[in-house]
Amino acid sequence: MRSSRPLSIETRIKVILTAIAMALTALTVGTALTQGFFERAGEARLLLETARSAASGLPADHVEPLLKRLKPFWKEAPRAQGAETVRSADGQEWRFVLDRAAIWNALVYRQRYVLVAGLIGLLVAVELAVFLAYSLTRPMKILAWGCEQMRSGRWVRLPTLSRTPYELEALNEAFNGMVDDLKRWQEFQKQAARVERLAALGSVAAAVAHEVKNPLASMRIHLDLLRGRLPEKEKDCLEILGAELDRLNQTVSQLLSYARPRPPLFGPVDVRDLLSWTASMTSTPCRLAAVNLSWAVEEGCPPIWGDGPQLKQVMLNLVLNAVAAQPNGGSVRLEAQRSGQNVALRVEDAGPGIPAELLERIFDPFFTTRPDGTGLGLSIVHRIVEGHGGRIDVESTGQKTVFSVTLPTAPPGKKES
Amino acid sequence: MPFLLLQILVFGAYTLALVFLAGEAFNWKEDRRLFYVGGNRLTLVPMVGTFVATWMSAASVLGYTMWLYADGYVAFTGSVNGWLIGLLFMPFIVRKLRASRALSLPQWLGDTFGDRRLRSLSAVSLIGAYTFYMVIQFRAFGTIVATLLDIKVIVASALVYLFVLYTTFGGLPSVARSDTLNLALILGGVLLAAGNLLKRAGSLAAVHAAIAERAPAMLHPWSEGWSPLVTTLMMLSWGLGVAANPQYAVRLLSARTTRDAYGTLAYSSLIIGAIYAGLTVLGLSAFVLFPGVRAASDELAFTRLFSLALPPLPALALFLAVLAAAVSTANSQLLLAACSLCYDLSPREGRNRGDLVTEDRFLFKNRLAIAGIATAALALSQFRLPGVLLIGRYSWTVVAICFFLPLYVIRTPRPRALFVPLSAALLLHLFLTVFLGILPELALLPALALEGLLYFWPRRKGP
Ligand SMILES: Nc1ncnc2c1ncn2[C@@H]1O[C@H](COP(=O)(O)OP(=O)(O)OP(=O)(O)O)[C@@H](O)[C@H]1O
Ligand SMILES: [Mg+2]
Repeated sequence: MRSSRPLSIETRIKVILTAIAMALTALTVGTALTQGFFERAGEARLLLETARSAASGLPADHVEPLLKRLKPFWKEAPRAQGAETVRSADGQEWRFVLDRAAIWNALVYRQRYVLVAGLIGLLVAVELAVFLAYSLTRPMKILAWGCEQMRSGRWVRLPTLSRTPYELEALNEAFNGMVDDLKRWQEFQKQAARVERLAALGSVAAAVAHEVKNPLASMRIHLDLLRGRLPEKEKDCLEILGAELDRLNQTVSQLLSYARPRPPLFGPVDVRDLLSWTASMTSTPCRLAAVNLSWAVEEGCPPIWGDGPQLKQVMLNLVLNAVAAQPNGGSVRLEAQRSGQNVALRVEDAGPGIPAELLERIFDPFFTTRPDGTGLGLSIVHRIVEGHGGRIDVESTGQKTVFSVTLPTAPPGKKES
Repeated sequence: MPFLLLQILVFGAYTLALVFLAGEAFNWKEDRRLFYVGGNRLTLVPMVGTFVATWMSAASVLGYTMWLYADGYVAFTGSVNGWLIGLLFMPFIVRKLRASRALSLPQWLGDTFGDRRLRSLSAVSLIGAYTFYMVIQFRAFGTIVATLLDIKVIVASALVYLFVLYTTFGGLPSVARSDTLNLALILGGVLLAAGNLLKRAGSLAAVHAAIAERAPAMLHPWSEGWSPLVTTLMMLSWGLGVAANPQYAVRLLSARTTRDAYGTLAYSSLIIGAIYAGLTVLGLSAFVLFPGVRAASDELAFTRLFSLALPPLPALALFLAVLAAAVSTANSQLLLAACSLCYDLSPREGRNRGDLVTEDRFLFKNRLAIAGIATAALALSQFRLPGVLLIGRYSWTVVAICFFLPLYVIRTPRPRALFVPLSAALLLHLFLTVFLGILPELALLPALALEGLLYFWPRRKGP
């Protein structure tokens, strides 16, 4: 049916164990039979010798019953070649040969349990072989299945099997390790591709921003020049035009600072100053949105080692986001406290929060959910915080959002002291 | 060579053939469908092999031959005739069964009537019936080998136990493969022995003539003691029992095509007929040549009679045929009992394969069940419980009550309508057999009648 297929492990183990069981049985039974045969033959000869010497002194009719006792091992063969002869005192002769078949039969009968036990042993050996083969092939089967799954694009981990030999377990673990690494590698590649894409986007954006910035500046100047010459009732239009220009300018500056960030100029930044500045800068938007802003700095909070203007931009962006998230009123709370060698700044609002599926994208440039947003705010924050060797975390539920920025209090070299 | 040694060597050769022909026990790509119904892919040759080999059990080979030896043709009317009637029923369920994709008969029953209770009930009765039938197989073969080799029965039974265990571990594919080998041995052994005896007796006509002279009643198909009614009823209930036996129905499920299923039934009936003819010749000519052999049990009498009647080699072939019959029937029964236990009685097991690891665990559990049930049967076969045979016959008829009506009579099943009639039939059967002491086979008929009545009654009255 499938003669071309090589033998399976099960068949191989079965062949080996069968051969061993058969050889062992053949050996033990063969030895027992051969030894038994020679012993019996020896005994028979002894019996014959005694009978012969006894017969030589007896008359024929007394010898007959004596010869009966030779029966099981000797059979009469009057005309056989090489037969043993027994002669009575009055000269009658009997000829005997060894009855080998009878001896063999008796011996086999004596050994019958050993033979059957050998047969049973053979069957037990085969059944053990089957389970032995199973315990070997099961992990391989699962491994093959895993490879198959991977090939068809499904990530799987092999389950840990109970009672497998450790070598096969190692195989299993190696496979799982490989899967994990592959997965990480794939993840990493995805990340790298995204970074590359963003970088390309950033440089295009920077070029565009740069080209737009100069015309914008000149438009602003000419707008201011126009202001003196126009009649009073047209000035409203100019006002709007100016505000829009400013907004455009700000967007372009943001874009530039994202795409071509200025390296931070490090120095001690007082946390209290930072927060009070942020509060005063955002008081107008807060008032407009009916948001209640409060701030607190922990007693004895050390200064941050960082770039003052950049840190101000971080806080400003976070607070503006928080305000924007609660257009119908709410609260924003700023806190600063020491945490080990670092300072933790928290910006907490009572807005609707960020949906979980968006959380990992909010730091991407141009990601925004607001119609008038640029989506650059948080990406700039992220870049600044990273440039400071700090970290930023978000926690968001349906009732509140907390951004916490952790920044070092000392330059990296001095950290250990 | 001492004959005893030859006998043991022949059993050894059988072992090796089984081990290396029955093939893999743990299939590389196995799942529950492959294990239970051979993946519905069995072709004609293994189908016929497994169908006939399962059909010929040690008990029927022995029982029929010895009954024939004692009473003549009435044995045919009383047993084989009924079984063959059962075979005639089978073509009618092929399409019906194969339309469902069930893996077992209890599942088919439960699915057809949308009733889990039916599935559990029939599964329990299957486990009981098959376990006790295995006891009979173990005992029959154990006695024969124990007599042949002059060893203890338990040792001889252990031998057949291991054969059965080994072939069942591989599920239906391995059962079917080993059954094909077993069928060859059964057919060969029976025909060789029959031919040998017939040659010595002259011809079948000579045998008949001798019987007509010595015991003319043996040529009469009806027993004088029994009324024709009882004989007919007996025949009918044997027939119904065989027709409803899941061990044949499940084989129809596992054929590759419906055509193969019909082909299996056709070829199998020919081979079964040939084997029964061989056994008939054996029993009758043995009576003519060596009348009057008696022993405490059928098994003993069989061994004694044919060691006496046949030359060593044909006798050995005949005994090997009995071994093959015992193994091939017991392994398929064992598989079905394990299936009922692990699959039909476990509510969470679906019909489709789970993922690789759960499937592997599930099938391993099946193998444990196989070993457990076989061991229980081996243990039971060693107690000389008088009731074992009766319990066997009892659970047998229970199986027939569970399956006959839904398989052969009910055409359009009504959901959940069968449980009550079935339970009532089982209770009536219990009452008739236990309290009135009626033979289980005879009590089967009124129970079936009640079941049918209760099932069809409300529909006639309804709108
Ligand atoms: N405190 C907050 N509560 C709810 N959502 C927020 C909060 N902060 C940021 N987000 C979400 O993150 C998105 C990205 O913020 P980001 O500051 O990067 O851009 P933006 O605020 O939309 O635009 P821009 O800051 O440039 O005006 C926002 O559109 C908003 O959906
Ligand atoms: Mg923003």
